[in-house]
Order: sequence, then structure tokens, then C-alpha cells
Amino acid sequence: VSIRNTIRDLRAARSMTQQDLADQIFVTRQTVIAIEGDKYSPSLEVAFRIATVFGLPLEQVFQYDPPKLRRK
Amino acid sequence: VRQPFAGYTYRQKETAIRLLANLVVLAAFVVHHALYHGTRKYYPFFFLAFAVPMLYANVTVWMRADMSTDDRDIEIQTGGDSQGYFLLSLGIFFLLMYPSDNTPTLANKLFVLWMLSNIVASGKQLRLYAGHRSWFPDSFSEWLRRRSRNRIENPTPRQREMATRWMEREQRRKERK
Repeated sequence: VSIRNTIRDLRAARSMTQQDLADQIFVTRQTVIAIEGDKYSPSLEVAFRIATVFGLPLEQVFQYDPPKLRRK
Repeated sequence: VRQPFAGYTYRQKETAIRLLANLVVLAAFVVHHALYHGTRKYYPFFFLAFAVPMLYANVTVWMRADMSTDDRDIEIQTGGDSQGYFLLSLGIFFLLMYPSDNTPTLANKLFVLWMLSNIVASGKQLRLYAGHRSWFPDSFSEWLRRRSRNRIENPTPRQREMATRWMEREQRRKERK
């Protein structure tokens, strides 16, 4: 997945559990685990909900890491 | 002792149980068919063998687990189902292409096809739940993607030459028209 995020750090800074975040953004705890582990890219709506919970702009929560091309 | 499927969601548990039930029933059906050449009086047993564990598992999971689902569950379910339906439709297409006069044989083939499509759908869903995009190992999928991108964005001299030749040929054809 070429989208990285800082959710784990932001959550830890606010002493928030995965379940707390999951409840606030209306997803399951397993989805939060998958997003934190970069195993799932959330929909734009969920991404905005996460950013709203942390009170930060989207680009501070999610970072796009474009895949590098192999030069021949 | 950590229970099996402890970290799974309700949907994941249901998918894993469905996969196991399908594998067991399909294996039993194939063995039965090989031994008894499809004696029809045992057929209801296979449908019950599929239905009873599924019903029991679903009721048990439903009573104990969190039933909530979200976008990710729906996305994964759709991704798996589409592959299962693809296999099912492909199989039905081949059954229609090569029809059989024997109705029990057709029923056997349809049953195996149905089980296989269920197995493919559940397997794909579990793989997606684990964070993988395809059936192949992640490194292989990434290599394939990179290879496709490179072909388009960084063509080799041979690919460039082939593309130039193709464009020249197209140009000539347009001029002739």
C-alpha cells in the first residue's frame, strides 16, 4: 500500500484506544488495526472522519508515498 | 490458550467457517463419488453436511461475536464474491458447451462447481482480510505491477523499436485509406 499514516502515534498522543477511534469513525476495531498496519486504504470519507477526530488536515494524517519505478 | 479465530471479526469468522465447511464437504463428496460412483440415495447427506455446520456456526458466532460490519467488510465480500461468481459462470458456460444427457452427472458437476466457487470466494475474502491484494505472494504481485508500469513508462530499446514500427505501419495504413 502506497498510503502511509500516523494514526497510531496520534492515537497514542491522545491516549485513545483503537476501539474508541473505531466507535468515533463508525468502523470495526479490526478495520482500525488494518488501517494502522497499512494493510488497508480507507475510503475518502473514512479518511476525512479520522482527520476530523484528530482535528488535523488530511495530509498530516495520511501521506502518499508514490511507488518508485525501476530504471533500466 | 488462545482460541482459534480470536482476532477475527464476525465476518472473518463466518468466512473461515464457510471455507472449512466447503472444503470438508467437497472432499467427502469427491471420495464418496470415487467409491460409490455417485449413488443418489446419499446425496441429501451432502447438502445436510453443508447446511448443518453452517447453520450451527453462524448461530454460535452470532450469539457470541460483535455483529458490526463496515465499508471494508462490504468491499472484501464483494471482491471475493465476484471471483466466485466468475468461476461459477465460467463453469456453467463449459457445462453448456459440453452438455451431458445424464442428469445425475450434471447435478454432480453443478454441486462440485458450486462448492469450488464458494471455496474461491471465501479464500479470496480471507486473503483480502489478511491485507493481501491478490492470490499471489505480495512480492510477486508487486514485481508484476512494476513490470507493467516499466513497460509503459520506461520501455526497453526493443519495445521502443516495436512501438515505432507499429506507429509507422498505422501511419501507412491511414495514408492508403
